[in-house]
Amino acid sequence: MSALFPRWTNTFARVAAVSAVGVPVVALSAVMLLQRTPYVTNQHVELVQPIQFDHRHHNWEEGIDCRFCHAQVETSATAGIPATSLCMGCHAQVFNKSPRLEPLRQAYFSKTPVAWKRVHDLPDFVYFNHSIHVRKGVGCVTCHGRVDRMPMVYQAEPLTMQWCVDCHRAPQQHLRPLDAVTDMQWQAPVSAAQRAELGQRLAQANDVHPRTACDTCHR
Amino acid sequence: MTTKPPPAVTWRLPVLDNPVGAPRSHESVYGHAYWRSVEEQRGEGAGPSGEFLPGASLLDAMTRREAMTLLGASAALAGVGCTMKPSDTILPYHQAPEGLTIGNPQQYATAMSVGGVATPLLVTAREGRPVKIEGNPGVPWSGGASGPFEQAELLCLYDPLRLKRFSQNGEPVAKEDALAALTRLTEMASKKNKGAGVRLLLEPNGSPSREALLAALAESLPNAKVLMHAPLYPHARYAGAQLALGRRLEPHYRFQNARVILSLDADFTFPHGPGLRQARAFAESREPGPSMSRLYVVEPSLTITGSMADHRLRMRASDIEAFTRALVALLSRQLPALAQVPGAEATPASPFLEAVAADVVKAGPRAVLVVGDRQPAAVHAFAHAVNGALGSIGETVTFTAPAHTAHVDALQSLVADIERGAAESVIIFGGNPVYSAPAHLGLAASLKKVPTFYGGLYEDETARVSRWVLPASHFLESWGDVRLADGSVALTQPLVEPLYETVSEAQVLGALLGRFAAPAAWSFKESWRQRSTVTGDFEAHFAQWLRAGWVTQSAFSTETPVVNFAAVAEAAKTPAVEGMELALTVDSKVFDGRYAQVPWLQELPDPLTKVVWDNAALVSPKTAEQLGFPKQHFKGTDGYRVPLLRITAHGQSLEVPAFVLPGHADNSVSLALGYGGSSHDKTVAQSVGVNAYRLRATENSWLSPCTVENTGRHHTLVCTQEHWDMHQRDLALQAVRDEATQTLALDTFDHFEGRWKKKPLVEHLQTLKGPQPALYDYAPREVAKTRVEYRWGMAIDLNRCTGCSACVTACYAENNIPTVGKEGVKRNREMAWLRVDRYFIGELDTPGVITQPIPCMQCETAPCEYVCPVNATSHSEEGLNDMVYNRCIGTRYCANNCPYKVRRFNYFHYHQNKTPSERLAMNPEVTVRARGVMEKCTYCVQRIERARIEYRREGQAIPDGAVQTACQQACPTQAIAFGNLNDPQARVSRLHASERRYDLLHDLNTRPRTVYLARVKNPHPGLS
Repeated sequence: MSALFPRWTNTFARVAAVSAVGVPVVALSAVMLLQRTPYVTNQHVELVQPIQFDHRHHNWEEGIDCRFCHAQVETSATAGIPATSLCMGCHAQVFNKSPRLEPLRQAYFSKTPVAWKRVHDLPDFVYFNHSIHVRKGVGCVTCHGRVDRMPMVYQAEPLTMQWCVDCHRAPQQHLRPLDAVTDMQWQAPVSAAQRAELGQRLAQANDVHPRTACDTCHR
Repeated sequence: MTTKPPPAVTWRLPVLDNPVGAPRSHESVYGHAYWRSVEEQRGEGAGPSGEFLPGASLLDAMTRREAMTLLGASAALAGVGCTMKPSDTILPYHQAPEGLTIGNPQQYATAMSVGGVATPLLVTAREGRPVKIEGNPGVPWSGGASGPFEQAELLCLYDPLRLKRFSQNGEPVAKEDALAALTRLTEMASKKNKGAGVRLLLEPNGSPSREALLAALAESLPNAKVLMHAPLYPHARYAGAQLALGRRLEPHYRFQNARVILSLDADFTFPHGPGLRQARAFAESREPGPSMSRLYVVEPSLTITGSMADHRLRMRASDIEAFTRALVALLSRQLPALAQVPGAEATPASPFLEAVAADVVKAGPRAVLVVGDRQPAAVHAFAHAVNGALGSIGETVTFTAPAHTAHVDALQSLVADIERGAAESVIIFGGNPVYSAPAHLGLAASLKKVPTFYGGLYEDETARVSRWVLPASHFLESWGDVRLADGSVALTQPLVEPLYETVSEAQVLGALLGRFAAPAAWSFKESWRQRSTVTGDFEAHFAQWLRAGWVTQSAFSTETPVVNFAAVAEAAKTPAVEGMELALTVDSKVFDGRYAQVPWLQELPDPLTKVVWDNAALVSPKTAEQLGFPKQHFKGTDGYRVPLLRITAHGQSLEVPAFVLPGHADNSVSLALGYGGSSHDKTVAQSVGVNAYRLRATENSWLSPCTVENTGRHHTLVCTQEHWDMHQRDLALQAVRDEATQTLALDTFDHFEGRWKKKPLVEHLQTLKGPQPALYDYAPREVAKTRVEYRWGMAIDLNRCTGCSACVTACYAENNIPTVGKEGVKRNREMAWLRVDRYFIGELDTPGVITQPIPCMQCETAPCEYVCPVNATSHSEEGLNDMVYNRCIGTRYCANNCPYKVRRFNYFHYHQNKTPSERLAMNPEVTVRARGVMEKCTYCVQRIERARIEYRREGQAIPDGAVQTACQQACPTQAIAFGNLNDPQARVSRLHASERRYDLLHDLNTRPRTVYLARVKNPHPGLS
């Protein structure tokens, strides 16, 4: 009796069997991986702002504390973008003829806001609160990166839920003394043991016990 | 053989279908035969329903082919419209406002007054826009409660259909021109005849700053007339006081001191203004214990107060005077002071009357009679006489001067003046009198004859007949002051700059005085400064008043009037209404009609009828039969098919849908005022209800004879009473207090003996609380995993709940809950996270009523969580059953598996088409849900998290009372307690430990965190 099917159908069957499982798995993984790439998370994307504000100059060179401009970071959910009048508080005196600050002066005198582009944009169903993180010893650098070295601010971390939850589950690695929260230069101890010991101590001292229940961030 | 004691916890099989074997007939009013509608009582209900009513998820008139086409198209196009995350901008302030932190709410005290009823408020603003209105707890007067009207004012502010332009004869004019026209009017009228032709029609609110403006106006226009008018003004209340006490006085009831309360057609717990305080005082008097009060109610239609009654007598409103006279006759035999008031003719004594009389005499000064504002002055006078004879005045009722006055015949005299040429120009501010005037008065036609200025929020009936139309500012946009019922002055401060170019009443009066150039805030303060009598720094005082929301110690002094019994004895008798009686009622949703365009309120089920988006002529089952409709047809998602009645009174007739309300008096029709305005042609209230004002005899009449005929045509009413079925189990429990033994018992149906039996409450509730035995022990492991500081829980005291539904509206406002419209509710798609179930108990004509608010129970072993395929609903360690909207894929398994039926599904993207102004009302702390997502009560988790962060920042624990859910905050009677069950001192923990506590559907072992406290009835031993 001759074969019912030609020999090549064996290969076809094997390929089909593998594909039947493999293609959906690969396709699904691709989508899920894509979601985690900077292409979707906007990580490392430098946005062109209406005014080329340079944090290197303000923070690194001039040593202005983050909280001078982002003043409500310790009291509110949002760190806040300074009012135009705060910018003009200095720039009425310094660089007051600079052409690069022309949009600022225009905004100030016409009383229209500067339309800054949002760099760190969480979805609307996520409720992040700056004040509690700062109060518990999570540094600005931890989430925002070395803003003092950024000519144009970009999103340094992925800001995915995985990334948030990793820290909420084990925050010790990310804590720093409260007086170093806005310190861009602060370095954690290099040795792992010392780092862990410091993390434990800070978590205890500042009563850090983050929650991971859904309602922590989703309301 | 030894007999074993029964196990402490017994297994009880869940009853899945019809009742606990309970028969439809029953021996006791306080028994367990609960029913939700007349149809259900007769066994003609919609039948068993599943997750939603059948048909809730069906599309309109769509064939399979159309559905497949759409399905194919949407599958093919899925992904075509996808884009990357849109970029967003941040717009900083030019100059940061003082005291504002972006992201943190601010609260300001203010006050409102509608139609003469004032409430002090505390309003929350986010980034300068008001988002939530609460009662002001700092004013001892209200205790922080608020009713549905107060909550709904928010949507009035942001209503996209508010008047936005000034016009003259329909043509737009500049605001300055309109105000200049007012100034010119004063100048000319002053020269001509000192303003004799000028008429001002205003709403009474007792505002001292307005009085000052009017006094100034009287200097330039001494002959002008100011008419105060509100369509629901309680004229009879003051006339009764005048008659019995010799002067117009405002009664203030101190129910917390009362032991026996007799309400004669008085809905004193109506959740608005003074009703909020009265409801709380009443709830305090109902604490089960030796001093628990007893409430008798005599009324035609069921009210929320009537539903709380221990004994309720249904009686036509126009027969209540005869009842009162008979009561006085009985009492005058026992109370010597009443001897001068033989008052009444002897009627055949009823056991009810005798029990009331005996109880009232027994309680002495601790008894109080309350009379409804629909009753004629004579009934009020009789009540004052009885209260006076009992010594109740000063004990359970006190008096002050009224906060304001109004004219009994304001509209009538206005029309008369216009017709005889005495009135040459009319200035109306607020109230929409053309809509609320009786039809035969012809106010609209008269107003067209003279130059009329009208300041109002909407382009309504009055605006249409007025020559000049001035868009009015909302109270949240303007400065002002109002008098609360006890005379205290509460200040109205604006929360937001006027959204549109509008004028406030003060600005209109200022324009008449030629003073409109001054900024409103400045002139308001100056007005107070000029009248101020405070010693010391005025600025400091004024700032303190604004902060507190009221002028401290500004209440009128309490008066102790003496009853003039001789005058009461001669009180004129109101002729009895023969045949059918028409009793107009104040609606708990639209008030005098001004809230008709508020979707939160239109969609709020009426506390008793549960009808939404309509008013209906309420009749008793017997009257319905006489009118030829023994049945009204309820067919699931087709709503109620009810007959249209033609009601004729005073030469006017109206076609009104009928609705059978158990417990209604025979030969009487109750019809709510406030619906059917034609001003809302373009709004949500288009063709909703009928305008019952048309049937009024005079501008303040309530009761009149009428003829009713069945037109034979039909109307579809939508009513939620049969939605969300929990299958008749031990739901809303009610115990009976035995006065002699001070014990609580309830009737339970004994399955073995097949009959109702009295059982001690505590014994019965033992089987209805605490954990059930489980097959495996999982709870301790869950708890041990994390440190749990807070265990959130709620307790709802049914003994305090009046069913007023303030909580439901507060929940809508706090949680961005969408409204779905009449058609949506008909299909069981209403989105209320918190519903108030209403059950009738007992007979069709004399039913008991119990109301039960049902939020999410936050079950510890939540059935919804097990069935979610994507973990969109899961448990927090603190006991909250979290709902994660962005995970939800809309299978609706959870709603199916929820035995309490508290989950709501977004069939459509209800928020999508909101106008920019409506979006301003949204709470930014709560996610706006999209189509295809399930949602439910969260215990106001956003408030918990805000408090947690605020207290943790300071290193403190959240104290009891720091987190209030929106429903709890609004509740006039404090029936809802919320807090941390780990704190034994918290109110919620004390209520959880109460002997009246029970768990809803306890046999399912869901371990709900929301528990109930059984209601207690306090019947008269001789009547029960």
